[in-house]
Amino acid sequence: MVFYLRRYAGSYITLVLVALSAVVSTRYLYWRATETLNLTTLVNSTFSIGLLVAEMYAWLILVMGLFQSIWPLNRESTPLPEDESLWPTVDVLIPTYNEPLSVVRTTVMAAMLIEWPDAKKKVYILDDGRRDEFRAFAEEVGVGYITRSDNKFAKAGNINNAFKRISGEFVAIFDCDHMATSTFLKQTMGGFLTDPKLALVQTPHHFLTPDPFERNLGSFRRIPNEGELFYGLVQDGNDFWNASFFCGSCAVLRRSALDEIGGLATDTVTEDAHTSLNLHRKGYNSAYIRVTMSAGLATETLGAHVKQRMRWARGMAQVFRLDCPLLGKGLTFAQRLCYTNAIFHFLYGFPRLFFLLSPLTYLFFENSIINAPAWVIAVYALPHLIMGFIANSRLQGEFRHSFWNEVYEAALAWYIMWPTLGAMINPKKGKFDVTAKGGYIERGFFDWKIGMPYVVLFLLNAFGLAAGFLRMFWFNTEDWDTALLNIAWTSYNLVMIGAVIAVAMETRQIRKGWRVEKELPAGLLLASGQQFECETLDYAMTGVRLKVSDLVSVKPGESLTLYLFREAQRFEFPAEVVVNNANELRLKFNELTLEQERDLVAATLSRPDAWINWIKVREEVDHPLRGFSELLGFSRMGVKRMKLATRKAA
Amino acid sequence: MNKFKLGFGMLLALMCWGQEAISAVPDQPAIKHVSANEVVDSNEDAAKSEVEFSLLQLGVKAPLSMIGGDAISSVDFSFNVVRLIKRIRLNLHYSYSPLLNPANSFLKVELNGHEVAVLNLLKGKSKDAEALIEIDPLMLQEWNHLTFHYTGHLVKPFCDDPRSLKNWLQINNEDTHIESSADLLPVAMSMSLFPQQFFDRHDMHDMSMALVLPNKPSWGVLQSAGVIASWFGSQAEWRKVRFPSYLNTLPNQSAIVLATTSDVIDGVTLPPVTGKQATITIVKHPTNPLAYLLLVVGRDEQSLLAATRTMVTTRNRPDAAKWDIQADKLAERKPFDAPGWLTENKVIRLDEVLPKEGLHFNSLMAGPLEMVLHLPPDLYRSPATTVPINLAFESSNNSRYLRQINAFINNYAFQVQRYDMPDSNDPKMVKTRLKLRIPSERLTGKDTISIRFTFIDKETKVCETAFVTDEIKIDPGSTIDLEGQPRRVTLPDLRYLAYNGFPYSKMADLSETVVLLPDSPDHNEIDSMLTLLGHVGNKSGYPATGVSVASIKQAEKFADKDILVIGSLTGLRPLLESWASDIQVNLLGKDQPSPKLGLDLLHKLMHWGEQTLLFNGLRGEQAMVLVGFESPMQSQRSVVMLTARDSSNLLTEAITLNTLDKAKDFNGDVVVISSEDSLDSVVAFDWAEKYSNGRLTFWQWFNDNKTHNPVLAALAAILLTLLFAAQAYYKFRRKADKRLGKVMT
Repeated sequence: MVFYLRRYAGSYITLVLVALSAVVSTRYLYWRATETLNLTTLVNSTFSIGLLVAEMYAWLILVMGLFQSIWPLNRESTPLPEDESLWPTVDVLIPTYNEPLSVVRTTVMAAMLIEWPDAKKKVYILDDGRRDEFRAFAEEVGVGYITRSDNKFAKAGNINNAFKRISGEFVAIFDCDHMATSTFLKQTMGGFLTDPKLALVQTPHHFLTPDPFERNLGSFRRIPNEGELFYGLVQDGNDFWNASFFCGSCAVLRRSALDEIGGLATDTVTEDAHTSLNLHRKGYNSAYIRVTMSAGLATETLGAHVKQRMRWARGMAQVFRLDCPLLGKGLTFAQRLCYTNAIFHFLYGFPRLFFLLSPLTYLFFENSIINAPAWVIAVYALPHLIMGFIANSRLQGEFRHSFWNEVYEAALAWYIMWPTLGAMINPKKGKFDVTAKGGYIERGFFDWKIGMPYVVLFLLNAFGLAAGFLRMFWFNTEDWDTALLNIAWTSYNLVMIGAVIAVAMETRQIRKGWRVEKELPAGLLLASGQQFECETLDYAMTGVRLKVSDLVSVKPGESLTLYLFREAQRFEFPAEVVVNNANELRLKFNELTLEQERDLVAATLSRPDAWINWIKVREEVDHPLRGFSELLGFSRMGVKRMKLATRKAA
Repeated sequence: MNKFKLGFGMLLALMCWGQEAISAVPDQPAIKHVSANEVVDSNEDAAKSEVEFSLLQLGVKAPLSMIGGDAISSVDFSFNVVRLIKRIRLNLHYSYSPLLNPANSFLKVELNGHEVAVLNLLKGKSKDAEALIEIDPLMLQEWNHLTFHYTGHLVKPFCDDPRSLKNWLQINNEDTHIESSADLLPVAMSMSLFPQQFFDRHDMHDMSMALVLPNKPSWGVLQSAGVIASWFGSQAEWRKVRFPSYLNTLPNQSAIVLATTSDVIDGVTLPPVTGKQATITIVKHPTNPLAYLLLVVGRDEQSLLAATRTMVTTRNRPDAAKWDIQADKLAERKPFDAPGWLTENKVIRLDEVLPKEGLHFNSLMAGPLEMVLHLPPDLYRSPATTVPINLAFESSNNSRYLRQINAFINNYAFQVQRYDMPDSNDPKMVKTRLKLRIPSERLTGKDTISIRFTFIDKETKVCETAFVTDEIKIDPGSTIDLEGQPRRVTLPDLRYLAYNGFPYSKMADLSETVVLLPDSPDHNEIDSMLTLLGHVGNKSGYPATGVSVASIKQAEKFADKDILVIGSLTGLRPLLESWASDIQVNLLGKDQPSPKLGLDLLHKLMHWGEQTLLFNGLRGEQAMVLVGFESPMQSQRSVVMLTARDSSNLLTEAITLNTLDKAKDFNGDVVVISSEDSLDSVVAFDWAEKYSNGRLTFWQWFNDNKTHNPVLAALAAILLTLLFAAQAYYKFRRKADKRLGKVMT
């Protein structure tokens, strides 16, 4: 019935499913807490209570998550007044520390291309690396350059330092690899003019390169990635509760409000969320516009990805300890819950590991940590699990496929556990790590260092599975149902861990730099004077790939002119043929002038439609079983890669 | 006949503080055989007989503990009217606190209010003291009341607290006994005295009534025997019943002979039938001068049956040894009107179930208030229902006040009520009302309700200067409210049979019951049937004048009745085979039939293995099995099958069922009794599909199911969820519009 219901879109049905899921899960947990604890021995008690705590955590996250995303707001841009003189002044800030200029320059150009009255917009590079190269570039393109003598408080300190020098009414902040589209300000600024208490408009972070999960699983642009749930649903849901928070980039903030709270927060390593928490405490509003208006580069390696998440986790734990959103003045109940969930979400390390290990206590040691017959457990747990999947699938299906959550979390569980624990104990410790971007991986290698805990977990669960079959058919035949239950559980764990291992197995990155697959109208002007209409297959800042008819007979090395179009505008770029296949033409740009380079950005990354229809094969609806079968495939891939890596190592 | 069983006993029971309640009516004396400790010397003209019984045999199940400066315990006994007691003495075994001051501590023994002895409590003999007290037989009455009055003071007391726990005396209930010797008197051979020649209600022993039947007795004769057995059962009160049957032989003891004119019984000449239908005669036993025979002879089976029915229901029997009986037509009975239990749908006053003396306490330790209730067996026993007692009482308010009331059912505490200290201007007797709610789940059909009162001192006193008693006066108008109680029985549950003879006793005359026996029943099977009918009669308090007895071959004819099947496995084989798929256990020992498909398939599958194991284990042993299930022939009708591998074991089964102490063990639809080292173990299983008799109103059903019916809970959850979601939908939509600036606030 529930599957039938979900074909009919509608918030009422979502509400029903969500409430049912909450009720069933609560009933399950109540039963677990009151009737199933095994407190017979110290070992049993430890595991039994440990598992209960893990399940309580999962319940809390489930319920808070359902609450948080119960009504995604789908906010549309507020139109600006016709009269441009009413538009406020905006400073566009691009903080950088150690990223190469090749990465930053595109961002700066995109920022310059944002449409806004020239007199009311200034772009600044905030260079914490104090690099002359950057100063020269700033002067050359005509943007502001601000630096300082120390790097205190990292990015937050860098921006706060700039505040001393700039005076725009609003600041738009972009990470140095987040290239905005030209309509960014026009789409985000409207709300500030109608709501004087609006202090923050956040937009999604979007990545034009695959993150380590996507790259290693080959799921790029096919299966929603880790960030999509947050930017597609969670922030939109937060917006309903006036609790969308600042994510450090791709956002506009009201300067007067920032000044009132003393600039960006510097007490924690996640200055962004903490800053918006401060704003909300002061009674300011926030808004979220779920339209992709910029694109950035994803972290390159799993190692870097893990590091970034460790920082977030540590930072969020710090926020919880230093400025707990459950306490203190100024927040609504819903805001408290939304922030708390955002923080608690990062505490999944311990519970996730516990779930991965729990069946082993029975399979290896015959400890029953849930003190109930297997079929009773099934009776209570299945409605809880099934309703949980259904409710989540309905709410999140578009942004995260079923079961993927487990993989994303499992992959990081081991690493995220320690910084959160550390920060919970001592929130003052921990420094700002900058996420490394823009590099490339030389060769495919299995990231043993990161994968190790999971290889161990995989082996343990594999032995557990074997032990389970022995118990079921040999040692504990009278207890076969319990054995079966644990076999099922450990098999599920194996699938999850297998997929995690597939992620940890880094695949080779084929190109230096990024390319964006996008079909754009283009034209060719050959030296001979011939002109052709064609379309791009993909583009980069160094060249393009074109789809052409086989009539185009150009040879590699030949020079020609490429036309790209944006609305009525036509841009010209000198280029050289690299490869001419039957219907695919690869061009390399010749040295581009600054002007041409900016045109290229304008014609590609800065286009208002640059990121529309990003996901290639958007599956209409998520289906829990489909989600699982996807994972099953990746899990098998992981096992294969692990075997291969072992063979290579030997 | 008093319609309500007086549960409180003949008189105020044993009053002993801080000890579990003991009823003066022996629930179930442990005397095993009537003649075991009875020495009859029949050589002399006047037969002499000696008899002895311990307090335990009189129903005192725990030592009599008396605590405090002033305490009383008592026990009741009586003698069969045929005994002219020549000598009686009390052999008293007791212990007391070594700290007692012998100068002013003593134990006074009284019989019927007259002092018979005062025992000094000497130092150094406080352990296992023994006293032999001769009692003048002239002090005896029809019902005798033996009272122990203990007065104790401590040696050199720091403070002589009359309620001190160091101040105690205990009478051993196993060793203390009453010995007597008597001349046995003949009883006049008059029908008007019947059944004194055979059974006297003053007798403290179990009941064993021999029945002599012709060889290969006809079904009608068996039916008559059943009527007689159940009638004796209804007279037996607390006694265990047994009905040894003799086929065409005369035992050397008193017996009841049932025959038609065409039958012959060896050793006795059947008198001619002079009445229209039957003649009943009392004669002396031909070989035992102390025994009698009741000869019930009918012209045919039907006449015999009619005669026995009339005999057991007529109050005025002729003052002659011979009675030409004229059968009356008996009035039809209504369901649940058995005299053995309280009337349903009625508000019962406490003075209807308790004598006045039982409602007033005034002593160092007041109470407990005790009553044995025989509530109708079809009161719905569910966790959600209670039977209310509206208790009104006065409690003394002096230097002590009533602090707490604890209420128990069958020793299970179900309610505690605490009271605050009364104000200084409150009267000497404080009136209180209290509603006690007996959890109906705990009801068995014979339930002891015990209400204990705890008084405490208002101030902590160093020494008690005056002797202050606690007083409780229960308002006799306090009520037990059965009105509107839901009535529904979930069967099969063999506890109903063990405690109440239910469902057979639903019609007190068993007019909706048939007993099915193997085609030619042996005497074991007959004995068991008689014992079982005696058991049911004992519970209902009415003879089974309407019971049918038939061969299992005729089962089909009795489809509209509740069925009691008794017989050995071999004897019952044809019935077992035809009902194989309806009985939840396979008694024939073949492979288990696969369980029928149903909603509770999982439940059934789980027990399937359990059953197979159990019965494989029992195969070939002396297994005795009782099985209860819904009649395959008509829904809502019950079948109970009493069977064993060997018919000689059937009787043990019937007797176990009749043993009140074991009744609680019959909590299932399959009961397996096994005898090991002469200890009967009773193991019950719950395997059958349940069926219910009686209806609940919707609200009663809802009330009962709201907390644990998963379907109801799920429906409620879904309903609430839908409502909640609707509410949330409109609220959230408004809020969202507000957030998006679509509506102005």
